[in-house]
Amino acid sequence: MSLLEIKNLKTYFHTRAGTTRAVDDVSFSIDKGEIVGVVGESGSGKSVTCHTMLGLLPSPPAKVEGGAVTFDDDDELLHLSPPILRAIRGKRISMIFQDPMSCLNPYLTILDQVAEPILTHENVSREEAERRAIEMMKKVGIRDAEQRAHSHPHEFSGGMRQRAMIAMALVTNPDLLLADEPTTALDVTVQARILQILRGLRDDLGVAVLFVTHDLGVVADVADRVVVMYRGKVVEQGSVLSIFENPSHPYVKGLLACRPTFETKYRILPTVDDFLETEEAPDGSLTLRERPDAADRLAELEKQVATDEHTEALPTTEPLLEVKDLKVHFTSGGGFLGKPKETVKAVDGVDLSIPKGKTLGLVGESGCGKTTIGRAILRLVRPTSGSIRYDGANLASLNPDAMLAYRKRMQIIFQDPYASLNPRLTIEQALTEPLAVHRIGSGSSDRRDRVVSLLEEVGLSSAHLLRYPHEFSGGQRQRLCVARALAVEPEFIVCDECVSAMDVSVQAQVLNLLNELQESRSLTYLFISHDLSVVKFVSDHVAVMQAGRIVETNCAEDLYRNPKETYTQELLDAVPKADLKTLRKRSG
Amino acid sequence: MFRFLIGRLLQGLLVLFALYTITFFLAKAMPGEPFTSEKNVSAETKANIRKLYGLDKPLWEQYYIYPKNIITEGSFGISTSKGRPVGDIIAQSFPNSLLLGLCALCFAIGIGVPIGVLSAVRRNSWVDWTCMAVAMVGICVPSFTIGPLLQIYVAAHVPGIKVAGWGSPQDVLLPAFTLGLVSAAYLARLTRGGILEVLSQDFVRTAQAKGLSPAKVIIKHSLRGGLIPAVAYLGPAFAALISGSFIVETIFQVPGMGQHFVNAATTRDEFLLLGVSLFFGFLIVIMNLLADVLTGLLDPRVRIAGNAD
Amino acid sequence: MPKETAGVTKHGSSLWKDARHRMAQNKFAMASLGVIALMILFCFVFAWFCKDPNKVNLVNKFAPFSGEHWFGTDALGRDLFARILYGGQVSILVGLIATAVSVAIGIVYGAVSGFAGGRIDAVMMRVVDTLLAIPFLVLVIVLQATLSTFSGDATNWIVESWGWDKEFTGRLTNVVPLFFALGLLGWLTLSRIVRAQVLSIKEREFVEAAVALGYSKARILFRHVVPNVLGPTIVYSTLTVPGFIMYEAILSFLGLGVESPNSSWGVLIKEGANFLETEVQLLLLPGLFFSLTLFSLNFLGDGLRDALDVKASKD
Repeated sequence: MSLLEIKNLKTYFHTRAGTTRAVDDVSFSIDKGEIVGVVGESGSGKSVTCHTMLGLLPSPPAKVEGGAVTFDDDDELLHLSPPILRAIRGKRISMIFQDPMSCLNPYLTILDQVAEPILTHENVSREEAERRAIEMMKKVGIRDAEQRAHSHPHEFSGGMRQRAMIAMALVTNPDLLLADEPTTALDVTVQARILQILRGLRDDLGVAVLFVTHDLGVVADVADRVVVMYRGKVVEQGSVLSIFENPSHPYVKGLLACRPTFETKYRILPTVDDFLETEEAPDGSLTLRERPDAADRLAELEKQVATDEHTEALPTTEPLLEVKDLKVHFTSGGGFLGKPKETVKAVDGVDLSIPKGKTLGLVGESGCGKTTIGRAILRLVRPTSGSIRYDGANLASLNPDAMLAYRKRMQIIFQDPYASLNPRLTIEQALTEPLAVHRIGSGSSDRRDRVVSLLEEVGLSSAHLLRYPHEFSGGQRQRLCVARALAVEPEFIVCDECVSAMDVSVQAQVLNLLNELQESRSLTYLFISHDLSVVKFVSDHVAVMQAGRIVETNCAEDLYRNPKETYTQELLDAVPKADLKTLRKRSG
Repeated sequence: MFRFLIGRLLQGLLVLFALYTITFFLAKAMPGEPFTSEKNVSAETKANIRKLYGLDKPLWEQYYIYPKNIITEGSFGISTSKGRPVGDIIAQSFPNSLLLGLCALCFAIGIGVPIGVLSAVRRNSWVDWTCMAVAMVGICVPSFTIGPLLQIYVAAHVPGIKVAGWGSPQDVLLPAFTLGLVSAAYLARLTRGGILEVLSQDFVRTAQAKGLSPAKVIIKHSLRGGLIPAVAYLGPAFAALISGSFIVETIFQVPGMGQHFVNAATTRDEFLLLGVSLFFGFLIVIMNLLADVLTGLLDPRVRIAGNAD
Repeated sequence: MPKETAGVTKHGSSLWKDARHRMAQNKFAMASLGVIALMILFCFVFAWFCKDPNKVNLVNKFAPFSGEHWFGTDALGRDLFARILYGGQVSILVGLIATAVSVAIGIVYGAVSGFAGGRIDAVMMRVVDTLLAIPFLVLVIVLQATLSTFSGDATNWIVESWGWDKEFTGRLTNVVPLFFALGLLGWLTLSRIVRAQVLSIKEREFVEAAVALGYSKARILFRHVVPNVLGPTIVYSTLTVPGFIMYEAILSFLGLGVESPNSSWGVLIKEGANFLETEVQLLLLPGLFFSLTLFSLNFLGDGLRDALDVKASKD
C-alpha cells in the first residue's frame, strides 16, 4: 500500500484575467521510504501540487476543483478539518522550500525555529526539544551546532540555511518529506552535499521524499522513480532508468534531448518543439501530440555531429581580447562612525585571452567573481588594476569618451531578462535607440527596417514592434536583449549567465540562437555561467574560476575529461550524473 | 550596538545645531529688537540682558554667546511677552505637556496597534473596512474640529469632565484623546500594512507548513516583523504629538509648552521662541534614538549590522 | 529557428495603460476623483456666481438656512456658503501650490542625489536627514512668523514698483509666504522617495545595458531612469496635497496662517469653534467640506498606489 496516493487532483486559479488550470487531473503515488522526483518546467504545476496537499495555497485565487489525496490509507488530506490537517503538517508530512533565506523567519533564532515543530506537536519540555533539535542539526552536517544554533538566519550561508530547514523538517520523524526545489538556489558543490544528506536521511530514518525539481540531472541522481509534469498534467511516470532509457511521451523525449549534457552529441540542440505539438482548447484544456516529423528532425540534427573544434589548443595568433592581471576590489564602509572598512577582492589577478570568432567559457560558483570580470571588461565596473587589451588598445586606461568608440564593438547580455529591458519603452523604441545614438542607418524608416530584420534574426517578427516588454515571455525577452545588443553590430559579446534563469527547453533555443549568430556574424563570446554542462556545450575553451582567481584554463574537451586541478575535479564530480551508464549501474 | 548609538547621538547633535542655526537666524531676521516695546520688563533687566546676550554686538557673536550662556549660566534668556526667565517657563510648562503627551501616546498605541492587527488579520472583511474608515477619519478630520465637538457633546453632558482646564486628573482625558487620535490613525494603518506585508512573506508559509495554529503564526512569527514600520513611526509620531499639542493645549486650555510656543511665534518673542524650539528639538532627538534602539531590538539584522540602511 | 508570433494584437498596452485600467476598476478611487473634481468646480467656478463672502450684514447674523443664504450666515452676517467656497479656494490652492513647490525641489534633489551616488549622495542625504529630524511644524511656524513680518513691506514695495492694486497685493503677500514656507520644507521626504527609486532603478540591468550601448548620462537619466521613477513620485505627491491642506488649516487655527480678509477652511473652522453651543453648523459645514476633500485626496492617493505600484515590473 502506498504512503501517499494522489488521484485526479485538480487545482485551478481563478483570477480576473481568467482561470489557470495549474494542476489538471494529476495522479501518482509514493511508497514508504521511496524518493519520487517530480520534474517539470515552470508552469508545470509541480509546486502547486505540493502546496495543495498541505493546504498551503491562498484560497481566493486557488481552488481545488476535484480529486483526492490519500495519506497512509487513512486521511483524505483535501477534506480534513483545519485542526486535524495542522496536526499532520510538520509532524507526519513536512515540507522544505526553495529559498531558505526567505523561508526562515529572520527575527527568530535557528534553534527556536528548528525546535518549534517538536514543541508544537509533542508534549515535551523545551530542553528536550532543543536537545533533539541540536542533534538533528548535527546530523545534517551543521558543525558546532550548539553554538551556532543561537544565531539568526542571515548569519548562515545558503547551504547551512538549507540544512537548517531540512533539520527543521525532519526533527519530528515525519513519514513524508515534500521538498520543493530545495537545491535550485544552491551552488553545485553545495547541492551535491545536500542531495547526499537527503539520501542518507532517507536510508537512516526511512522517510519518503517527494522531490520537486526542474533539473533532470538532479532527479536522476537522487530519485527512485520519476513523475514528469507538463502544464498541469502528468505526461509520464516510471523508474528513473526507464524514463531516461526509453521515454515514451514526446515531451519527455524532448526534455531529455534538449539538455546540453557532457555527453551530448548535438551541435544544434533539439528543442521540445521538435518533438511536441500542443493544442489549446478554448476552455483551457490541452491536447499533446507527438510531431510526426520528430524522428526525421532528430536524425538531421544528429548528422551535424560536433566537430573537433572544441579540442583545439589555444591558437598563437593575436587574440581579440586579452586580459592580464586584472584586479577588481570593492571597498565599503569606512568613514566616520560607519561600519569598519572592508575590501572585497572580487577579482584578484586574472589572465584571460579569447581568439577572434571563438567562445571562452568562464565557469565558477557564486561569488567567485566571474560576473565582475564580464562587467569590468565592458567598463561597467571600474577595474582596480591590470590591463584589458581589446584589439590592441588597453580599455582599462581609456577615458569615457574614448571608450565610447569601443562600446559599439562590445556588448553584454544579462541574466535577468525581466530587468534587462526598460519597461516603459516599446520594442521598436528600445531597438531603434542604439541605432539612433550611434547614427546607424540613414533615417527613421531605414532604421525601422533594420529593427525588423534584427527581430527576424532572433526569431521574432515585426508584429512585436509596438508591444511592451512585460507582454513577452522570459525566453522572448532574452531574444529581444540579443537583438538590441546586435543593433550596434558588435564583434564581441559577454553572455553573463544569460540562460541561467530559464527553463531547459527555452535555454536550448537561446543557446542555438547564440551559436547560429556566432557563425553568421563571426562573433566572439565570453560565456559566463555556473552551469558546467551549458558551458561545455557552448565553449571552445573554458576557464574555471574560484575566489577571484583562475584555477585552470584549457580547451573544453580536455578540461572536462582530464581536469588538472583539484577544484575543477570537485566541480565536475558535483554535477549530478544522469548518463545511462551510471543509471544502469545504480539500479543494479 | 554601541557604535550605532554613538553615531545616532552625534547625528542628533548635528540636528540640534542645524535647528538652532535656522531658528536663530530666522528669529534675528524679524524686524525690531526684543524689548523695544515691552513694558513687562524693567529697565534694569533689559540692560542686564542686553549685556549678557550682547544684543549690541554683531550677529555672529550673538550666535555663539547664546549657547555659551546655556552651558555656563544655564540661562535661556527672558521672555519678553511674559517677563519671566525662559528656563522657568519651560520648567513649569513641560511637565504638563509631558503628561498630556504620554497619555496621548498610550492611547495612540493602545488603540491604533490592535486595530491595525485586527484589520490585517481580517483583511477585506467588514471589520477591516470599518477600522480603516475610522482611521481615515482620524487623519482627515482635524483635531480642532474633533476637540470642540467633544467639548460640546461630551464634556457638557458628562459630569466631572470639564470643557477646558487643567486641575483634576480626569482633565487629561479629552485632550489626550484628541491629541492621540491622529497618531492612532497612522499607527493603525502602518500596523495593518506592516502585518500584511509580513504575512505575504515566505517564512509565514513555512510556519503554516509546520502545523502551527493561526494564532501562533500571527503572534510568534508575524507580529515582530509587522510592528517594525509602526515602531519606526514612533519617532515622527512623537513629533506629531508635539505639533498637535499646539492646538490641543489651546482648545482645552492646558498650560503646556505648546501654548507658549505659539504665543512666542505670534508675539515675536525671540528668546522664548528659541528656547522652546531647542527644547522640542532635543526631545525629538531623544525619541528618535529610542525608536531606533527599539527597532534594533526587534530586528536582529539591524542590530548586528550596526546600521540600518 | 521556430518563429514566435505570440498574440495577435499589434498595439501593446503600456504600463500606464494597465495602471489606468486598474484605477478605473477601483470604485473608491474613481468616486474620490469625482468628489475632488466637483469640489474644484464648486470652489473655483461656482463661487463666481455666489454672494460676496466678505459682505458684512450685522443685522442678519446667525441666519438659518434659507433660499437666500443656503447655509445661513455667520457671526457677522456673511453668507456661509460663499465663505466656504471662497475658503476652499485658498485651502486647495495652498495644497496644490505648496505641493508643486515641494515636488519641483524634491524630484530634482532626489534624482541628482541618487544618480550622482557616492560622496555627493551621502552629503545630500545627510542634509535631508538632519532637516527631517527637526519638527516640521516648529520650523514652519518660525519661518512663517518671520516671513509674515515682511508682508507689509513687501506689499508696499510691490504696489509702488509695479502699481498693483493694494488690496489684492495685500491678500497675496499674506498668503504667498505660506506656500513657500510649506513648500520649502515639505520636499524632504519626497526627495528621499525619489532617491530611493532612482537608486533601485540604477541597479537594474536595463540601465547597465544603456551604459554598455554607449548612451550619454543625460539620455539615461531622462529617458530611462526618470520615467520609471514617476510612479511612486506621483503617488506620494498626491498624498502630499492633503497634508499641506491640513497644515494650512492648523496654522490658520493658531492664528499664524491666512489672515482676513482672506479666509480658508481652517479660518472658518476656527471661527465656527467660537459658537459651538448655539450654531454648530458654523463649525460642521466647513469641517465637512474640509474632511471630505481630504478623504477623497487620500483615497485617490491610495488608489493610485494600488494601480501603479502593483508590479510596475510584471514578473
